[in-house]
Amino acid sequence: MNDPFALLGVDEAADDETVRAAYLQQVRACPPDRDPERFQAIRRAYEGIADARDRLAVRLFHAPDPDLPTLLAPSLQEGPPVPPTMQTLQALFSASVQAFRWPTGQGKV
Amino acid sequence: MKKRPSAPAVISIPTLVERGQRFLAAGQWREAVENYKQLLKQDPTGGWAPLLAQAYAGRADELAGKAMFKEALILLDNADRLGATPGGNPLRLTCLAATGRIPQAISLYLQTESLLKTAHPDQFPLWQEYVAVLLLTDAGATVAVPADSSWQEPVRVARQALAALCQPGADPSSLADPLRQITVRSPFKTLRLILKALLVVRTEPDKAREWVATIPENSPWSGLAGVITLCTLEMTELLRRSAEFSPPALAIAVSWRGIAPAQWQAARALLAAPPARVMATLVARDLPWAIPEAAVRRTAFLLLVEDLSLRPVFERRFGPLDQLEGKRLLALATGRDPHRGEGAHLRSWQVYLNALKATPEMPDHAQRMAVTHRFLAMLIGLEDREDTRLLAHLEQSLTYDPGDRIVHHSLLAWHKHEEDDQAYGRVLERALQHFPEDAEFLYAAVRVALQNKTFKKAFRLAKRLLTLDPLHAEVRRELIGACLAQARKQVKSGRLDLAGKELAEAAAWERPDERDGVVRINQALLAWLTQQTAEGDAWLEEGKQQAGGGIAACLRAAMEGVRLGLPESWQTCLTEALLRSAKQTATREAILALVQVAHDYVGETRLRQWLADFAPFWLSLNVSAFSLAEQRAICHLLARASVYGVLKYYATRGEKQWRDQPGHYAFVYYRLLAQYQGPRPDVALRDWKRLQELRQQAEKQQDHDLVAELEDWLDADADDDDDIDLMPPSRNRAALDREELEELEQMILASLTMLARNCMRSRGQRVSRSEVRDVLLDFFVGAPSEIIKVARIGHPVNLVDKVLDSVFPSAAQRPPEQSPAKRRGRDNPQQLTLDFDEP
Repeated sequence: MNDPFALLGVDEAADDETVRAAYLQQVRACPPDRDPERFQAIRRAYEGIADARDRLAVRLFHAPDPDLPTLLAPSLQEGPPVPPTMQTLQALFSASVQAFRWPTGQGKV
Repeated sequence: MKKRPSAPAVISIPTLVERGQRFLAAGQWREAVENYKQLLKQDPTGGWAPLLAQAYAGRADELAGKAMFKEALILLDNADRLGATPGGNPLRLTCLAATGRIPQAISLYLQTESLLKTAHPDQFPLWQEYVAVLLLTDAGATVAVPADSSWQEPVRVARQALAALCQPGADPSSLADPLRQITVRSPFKTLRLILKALLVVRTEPDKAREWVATIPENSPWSGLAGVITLCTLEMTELLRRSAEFSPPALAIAVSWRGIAPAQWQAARALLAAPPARVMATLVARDLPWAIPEAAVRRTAFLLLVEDLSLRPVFERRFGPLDQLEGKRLLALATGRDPHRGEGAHLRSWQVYLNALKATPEMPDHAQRMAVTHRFLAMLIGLEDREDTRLLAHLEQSLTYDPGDRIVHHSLLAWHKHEEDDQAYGRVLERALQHFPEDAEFLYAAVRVALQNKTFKKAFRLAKRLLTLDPLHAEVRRELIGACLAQARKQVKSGRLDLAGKELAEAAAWERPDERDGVVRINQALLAWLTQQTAEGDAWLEEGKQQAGGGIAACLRAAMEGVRLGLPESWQTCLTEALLRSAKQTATREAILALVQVAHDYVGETRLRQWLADFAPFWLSLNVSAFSLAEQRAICHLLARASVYGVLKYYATRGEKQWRDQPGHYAFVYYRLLAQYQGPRPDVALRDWKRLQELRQQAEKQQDHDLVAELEDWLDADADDDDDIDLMPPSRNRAALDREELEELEQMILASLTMLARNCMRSRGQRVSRSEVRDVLLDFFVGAPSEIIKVARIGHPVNLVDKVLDSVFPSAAQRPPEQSPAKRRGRDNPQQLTLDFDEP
């Protein structure tokens, strides 16, 4: 199980209302039809810490793996698009050629 | 002296030929190469070169799969020298491209392009796309394209579009014009689609995602399409999944999203770093952006749980951990240590609990004590659900936090499991004090009160529950069931007035839209018992409507009559009414209503006989009138009630009718169940295998109920392996059909016999043989094709005569006619109107 506090982006000391608001915000950002798996994870996280007792229990007894992507993601800001260089594009095409495999064996002519 | 190795034994040519064929067929290319080399050496004129070439090509393919492209090329050259593949091999093209010989690869393609187009029209578009990507790998790639080649213009336009995309500081919309020049017939049309998606991906990510979703995963353009996927990912997912994509794709996506390169690199470096390095970075605030302090502390603490040696680093930044936090840290670390058992884990949390007890001054001390006791109970329960320490911790938890609903539920579950009714009741009372408006606790309390026969209390609690949840069907069912049981008791002890009150109470608990006729029919039966026939008829009419039709109401009345312990003469009367109804032509709705009603009585001894008596009714409707689910529900009931004759009829037809549907397997199961007259262990091997296949199919469809039924049957079979020797011999299809027909004939004979007896009862002793004969022959009018088929074999008249012979005793055997007066009285319901027939 991921860290529900990190997943919902709330502090461990958050109250019921804050947790619910964070949950609704996450659901709006990631509705079930767009990414069902993530939506399920968000819902599970909310159900796990919606109640003050459960929040305390998770805080005290639950030690998930540190979730660095969730920790770092809010700090990475997006800006206006920067065009790629031709070298990067050519490197991408070279990598595509290297990775390509013919789908049905190696047909001969 | 060193012994000289002996020369390898010479293998004969026929052996080599045989082995070679085997190797080629099995794709053992290396062995095939060695084999044919040897064969070619021994028999140079035997025409083995093409087979050796085939082996070389196969081995080259194998090596290319392991990214050994140079070695693969050598083997392809060998194969070519043997005259096998004159250059036009996609594998050669791949190997040339993968080893950086792009111009040669393009030349190879251009030389064989026309040949490919005609010989492999299905593969040709893929070749074109592959070469299109090759042509964009570097500027020198176009050298191999002749000036008059049809590729010149498409390549120029595509390169122009890419140049426009890479223009520093240019507006992305300036790409629109070069993109328009890439035509829909161009080999670069997928490039156009991806670049168009790139233009809209920041503003309309769903649309961009939808566009690139049309590109197959194995397309040579999938690398570029991956950029679009990366641009649409949520930032956390972008970080999490970044390793799945090639570095250039990631670099393009990150720059297109406008993420500062320094930030991105720092984040990626941190993701790849070991815990100590991550801790050091976080503690030293050595990141090019700020992260909230609480989030950093939590992450650092979690790193500490992973590696306790980092504690000094942690404490330098966040201060020393107090004694209690130290104990918690140790307990968390113990839980993660795979070398420490559950016992150690439990002990470490017990130590934490003891330390917690010693700090009552903590602001949320009671709350912490409560959740810790709850947590310990959970840990103990994971190991041993019957460990009494679990109960003690739950009780302790409630002393600190009496309002913890989960703990109340856990305690109830414990006492229920222990079958300690007193403790269960006590805990439930306590839970209700804290949660007087909780529907689950109220429902449990109603059940306890009913069990203890404290009806007033049950009604009071139920009223409260129904105020909170008027749709609570279960509580209504419980209360109605209890009232009916009381009413039956009163009838049996002759207190009919009290029984009437109980039935009135039961009626009061019914929801108008959920009535199933059971109360009304009981009221009707009681009314007839008390000679109030008019009222009884009215109740019956109402009950018939509620039950869903005459036949369903008829079954209900018969079964409720048995439950009420009505006299035998009543049973006879009800049987006749049943049979009269059974003679009716069935409708789909009537059968479904009957099935629904019958489910209430599964397990009661009389049900099987009643349902079997309905044989003419069951058979009088074409089963194709039902949906698959309905037909399955019918089979389910017949199986539960062990009415195997009718079950076989429905299951066999279901099997034929729904053979193309995924749910078809259920009918096969029911047919086998009917064939064996239940889940018997002495099943033929062929059918046992079929049952196993059915279980697999049911598992695949997540049909848990049927899986459970099949497992019960198969397990029963496994318990008695000796029976396998006693299996019946397998029968062919014709034999099965004959058996089926014979069974149907028996059912028809039984039905005709019942009809004849019913006719004789209803018309008295004056009825003649010819009158009954006419009634029986009517049975075949409009009957389904199966019945006609059986009748044709045995001939309807013969069948009818056979029945008449059995039911018409000779004059000497006939009993003396009873006086009508003798048949009257309270115990004789002949004087009552039992009109179950459909209007």
